[in-house]
Amino acid sequence: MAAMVAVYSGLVRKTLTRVGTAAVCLTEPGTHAVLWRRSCSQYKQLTSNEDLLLSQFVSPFTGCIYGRHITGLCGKKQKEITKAIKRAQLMGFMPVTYKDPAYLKDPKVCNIKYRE
Amino acid sequence: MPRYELALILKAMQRPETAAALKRTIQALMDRGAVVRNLENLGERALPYKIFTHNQRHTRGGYFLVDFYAPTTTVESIKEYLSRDTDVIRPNVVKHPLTQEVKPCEGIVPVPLEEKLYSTKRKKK
Repeated sequence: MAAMVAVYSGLVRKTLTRVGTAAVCLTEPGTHAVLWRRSCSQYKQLTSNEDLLLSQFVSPFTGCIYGRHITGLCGKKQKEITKAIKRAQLMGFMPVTYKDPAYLKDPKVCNIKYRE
Repeated sequence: MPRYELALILKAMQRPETAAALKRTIQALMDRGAVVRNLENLGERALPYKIFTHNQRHTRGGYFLVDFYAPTTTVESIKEYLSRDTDVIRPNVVKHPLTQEVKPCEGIVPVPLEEKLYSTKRKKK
């Protein structure tokens, strides 16, 4: 039974369980945004002014929004973040085709690896 | 409680002209029955992309944030007025974010997959 379950879970896309995985959580002085920890339970209200927070979920090369399998967020939070990013881009707070160069050196929240 | 928030992007102008434009905008808001609560200046900075409005190409702009209470019927007239103003690059009226409820999120709930291994539908023999 255990072997069958293991084989099945290997076939199915891995669901990341959010059990106490926390990356470093920094607050920069002067901004009212808190960088995400890698768990949905760290809730923060999403405004479209917070470029620092939203730029972490955007690719630095193309500016496209990372998917759920990379960010590791739950359904609701992913949707909220996508909506906030699109809104910020439309309102003129965040660039669309690239990531703002001031935020390139942020700590990584997403699960993505680039070739050096 | 703050109801609406206006994310205003003004053309990059000298200080007295920016002040005049802001005064004009807030006067227009108050004429339509809005109560302005706070005005914040987020500084003048380069726009994230070039914006073309009113036959002009803009690269820099002054960012301002106005939160105000307004009746629901006048929001459309405010938006229409701001779109006609030449000094305003991009106006955006949004519901104020602090009024939204904060709901705690439980994260991804692990679903027991063993029950989904076999279908529970009765097959006709």
